[in-house]
Amino acid sequence: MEKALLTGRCAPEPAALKGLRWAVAGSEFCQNRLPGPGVLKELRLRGLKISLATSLLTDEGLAAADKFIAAARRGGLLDEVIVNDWGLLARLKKYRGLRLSIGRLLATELSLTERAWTRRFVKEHGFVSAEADEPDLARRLRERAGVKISWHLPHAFKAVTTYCPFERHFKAACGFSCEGRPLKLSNPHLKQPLLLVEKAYLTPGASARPPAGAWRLVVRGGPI
Amino acid sequence: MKLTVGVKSAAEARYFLDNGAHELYCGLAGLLNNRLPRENLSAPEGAGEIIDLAAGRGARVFLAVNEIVPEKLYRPALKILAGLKERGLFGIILRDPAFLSWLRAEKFRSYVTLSTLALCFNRSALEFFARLGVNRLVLPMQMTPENAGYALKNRLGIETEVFCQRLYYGVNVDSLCFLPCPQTAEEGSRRFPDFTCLLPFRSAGGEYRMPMPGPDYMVNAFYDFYKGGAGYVKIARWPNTDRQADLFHKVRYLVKLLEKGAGRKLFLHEGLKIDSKPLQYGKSFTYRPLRA
Repeated sequence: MEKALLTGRCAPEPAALKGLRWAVAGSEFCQNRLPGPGVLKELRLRGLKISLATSLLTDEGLAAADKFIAAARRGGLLDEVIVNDWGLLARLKKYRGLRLSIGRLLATELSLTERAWTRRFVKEHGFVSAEADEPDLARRLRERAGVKISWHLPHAFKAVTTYCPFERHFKAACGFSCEGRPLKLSNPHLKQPLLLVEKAYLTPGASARPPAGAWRLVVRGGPI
Repeated sequence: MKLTVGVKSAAEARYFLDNGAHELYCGLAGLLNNRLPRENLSAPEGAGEIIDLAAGRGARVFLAVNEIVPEKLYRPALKILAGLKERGLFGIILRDPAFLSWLRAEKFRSYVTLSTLALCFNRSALEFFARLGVNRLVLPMQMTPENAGYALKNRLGIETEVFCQRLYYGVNVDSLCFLPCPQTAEEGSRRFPDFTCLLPFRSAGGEYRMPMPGPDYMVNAFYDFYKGGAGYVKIARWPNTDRQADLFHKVRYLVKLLEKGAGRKLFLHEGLKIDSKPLQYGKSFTYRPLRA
């Protein structure tokens, strides 16, 4: 099984990448968190395959992602894009040999849509895998979309917003105030806390056990 | 700007039409949509009654089928939609691109509103849905005018519908929120965990509440939607019709102000005076429909 680290915007310490073949840069939960300058190159120099996670995109976010992907492909620094927005797909059609993976947000749609349509859609756009962190979602994606599962651990997705909880705005540019600041949110009425990461709420530890047959494990780095 | 109102019965349809609704929509039990079974009509005849009522006032009626539709429901759904279309149903509210493609392949033609639940946040996504035959987009509730130029100024002939976010707002993307909620549970525990998005949390940074923009921002957003050309404002179904009616009258007041030419300053002043709890909208287990 392949192993990956979610690296977000920055290149991690070399020790964190030991034994890994993939880095998943960017974010599925915030369009603003494209990797910083030189990050993909640094990851490549460490011998990693590189996936770019993308989120829901506004027009501005879509333009930025499109531009970033074009530059990364020109530089030979991108092997895969994780797609969570219908609108990004048309922009990716021009790239030959770029792996596509259905992101966890778009997967909520494509794990439920009618099987024959979904298979055609997956084939037409060249999806080979899907990201998942919940067993039922993984099963549906395998059965319906016929794709391999890239499993995210240890936290499972619960909700996402487009309004930045850290900086309180909808803008496509920000000060990256969420950087390295996952927030544990507790309330005495809830059995489990939530974890605020970027613009998403996750259930800590809920996806710690990957399903059999997953082709890749994606681990979230950093202190929780 | 026209008022599009969700109803649970012919009695509610009559009430909202009497009070200025331009369009109505409803759902049917068994045909998946984003409300609980008790907020749906029990049989197509109920929708037919609403269509007849609206036709007498020159109003349009839509049917909401705005969840991902399981394939086993495709044929039964088509039969119901075709029957209601013959009766005068104007359009359908959909989210599922597969079902939309299938309806087209079956040569079923209707005005199609793309539900707010569809993940349509940019120009390219709108083009994707336009190719499937969408006629109107209900902007995602978390889409504000600063990012909605793609929809408001589209050249695809697609109309736009918005929420009055000052009065009705969800802190998370509606179709991508899997926290417990009265909107998705018929009963639930009726305790605090069912209102997770409204709870105060302890965190290392102090008390945390899932945030939303301030009231000034929301009032301005509605002003900008209106000036930007949004054609419709949606007042969604609510289990408690009294509260839905209260919201309807507030929205109608704001729209009237805009139609009379209120400037931003006056509109903001008036909009801020309105008593509003936008996060409570729809988050109630109290089922109190309007009785005939």
